[in-house]
Amino acid sequence: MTHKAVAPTVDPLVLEARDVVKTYNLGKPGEVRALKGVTLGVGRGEMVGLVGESGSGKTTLMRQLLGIEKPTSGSVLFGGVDREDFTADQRDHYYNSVAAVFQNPYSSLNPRRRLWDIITERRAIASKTSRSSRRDRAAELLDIVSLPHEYADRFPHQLSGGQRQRVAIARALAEEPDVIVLDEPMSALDVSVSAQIANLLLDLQDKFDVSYVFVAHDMHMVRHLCHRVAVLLKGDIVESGPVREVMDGPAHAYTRALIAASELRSLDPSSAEVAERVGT
Amino acid sequence: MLEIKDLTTKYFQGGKTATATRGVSLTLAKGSATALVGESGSGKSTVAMSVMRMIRPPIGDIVDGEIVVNGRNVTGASKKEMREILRTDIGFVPQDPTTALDPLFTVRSQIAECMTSTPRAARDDAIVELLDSLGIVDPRARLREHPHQFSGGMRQRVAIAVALAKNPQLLIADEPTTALDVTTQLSILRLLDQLRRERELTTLFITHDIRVARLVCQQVAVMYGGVMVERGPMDLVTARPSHPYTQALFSANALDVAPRQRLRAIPGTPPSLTAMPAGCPFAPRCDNATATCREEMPPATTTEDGVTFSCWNPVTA
Repeated sequence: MTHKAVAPTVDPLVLEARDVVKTYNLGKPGEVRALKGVTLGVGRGEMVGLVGESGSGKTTLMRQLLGIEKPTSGSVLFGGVDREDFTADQRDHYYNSVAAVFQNPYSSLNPRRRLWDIITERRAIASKTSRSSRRDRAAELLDIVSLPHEYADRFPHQLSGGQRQRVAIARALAEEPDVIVLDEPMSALDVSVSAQIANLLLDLQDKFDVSYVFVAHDMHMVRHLCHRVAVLLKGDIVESGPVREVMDGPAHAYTRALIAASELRSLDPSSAEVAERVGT
Repeated sequence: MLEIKDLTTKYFQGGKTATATRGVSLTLAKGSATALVGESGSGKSTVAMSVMRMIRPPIGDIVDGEIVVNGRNVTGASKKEMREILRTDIGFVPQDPTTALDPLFTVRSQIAECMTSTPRAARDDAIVELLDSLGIVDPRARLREHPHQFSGGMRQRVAIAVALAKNPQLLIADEPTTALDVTTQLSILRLLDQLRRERELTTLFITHDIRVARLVCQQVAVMYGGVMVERGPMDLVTARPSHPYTQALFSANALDVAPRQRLRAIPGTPPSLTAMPAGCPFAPRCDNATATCREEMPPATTTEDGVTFSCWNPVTA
């Protein structure tokens, strides 16, 4: 792997959001505070879960981390450098090194492009790259995500949901990223396919030492996959810490409700069971 | 209440036929909830669509088998008779309430549309009562609101209200909680369970997630590649699955391995409906598969506990 040198890091975190506030102006009096000062970072080779219900701001935070949007206040740091202070090279490196996999593989892949083109599009944008070298790279990447090489010339509609998500992961890996932001990558997939994708993510992390920010709406996969977890509620992180600690002793009432709902142990809403789980 | 016998449904796609279900049999007793579990393409939704006779030429047809809903034969029913059965007997809860409700009509008018047996003057009160029982706060004030003014969970409650407005005998819920948050999911599941108990509502609950199914259903039926591979009481099937696919599906989902260790995913992909193997559809991915499995469809075996499965080499405990 060839990584361009980044500014020497003081902070061990690869990608970090610091006190990020994001407000949206809806065009009428009053604005929506989607994020109210959120701090979240991910270290090298680490997997951090970001859990919250719809409307909690997890997608907004993801957009700030990916650089799709600029925070209203606060900063996003990559390799210890504030995005606002990037040189042109650092900016290029940032956009190549922070990749994303989106929730719905049925809409995130361009239906009119062949897979090799989809997977290596980033390369074509960044510089003039020959068709053959892009095809070679696509074949390599398909191999990494365990899809046959022949798929390079196929269109997305010829693939199943799980295969499409593999393609999306291959695309994210194309520029040898440091961080991949995964936006509910399994929620559109069947459970047995989810298990395959979970295994793939773990394998890739072993192989490439890549960091993941895993956005999810429940704890089910997070508890299995992540090192740390942050629970987002209405634009605030209400609880964060190592997964084991949060699962065993959730401090915030919302975390407790979320864990109970994720575990799906019973229909009983009583907190008795939650309390019991906390006790163990 | 609902009896499906040897149902075979095919889809016609440009000269080719895809067999979506092959010889599926299922019986639902009154007041019970049955989970129909399977992956995408397993044929679970096709079974539901066949019960409602939504699959008609030119897109497809029921080529074999018989479906009886509440003593009425659905497979032999004319379009007119079918309309009557759908109007009175079967309620349907869709997967995605956002697309299922019409954005241009008020909640009230969409629910009232299904209340054909209630006198016009009494409908508003009936709707308020219904929405109230489904946990919508201050329903009278919300009658004239449109679906976009409701949150996802509330919209699903409205969709359930549409299904219940006709006071159906059978409720078919097709992945009713897949599009919802987990906390909302739990409250919808609780609601469906409560409805079943209070109204003796027979429920066919279609899902790909056995963890969800386990909470609300007493019976389970597992489908793979258009075939019913195993069915029986939920607790028995989950505790001791007989079919290798059932076992693989449950263990892929169990997360009972140490954190960050590889999950027991099922290798390979499900077969295509247009090129179904001659024998057991799971044979290419099955560890127990033998030559017989690949060539001949296994017959259904029923144990004394009431579990029925179709496998040549079942899982031995």
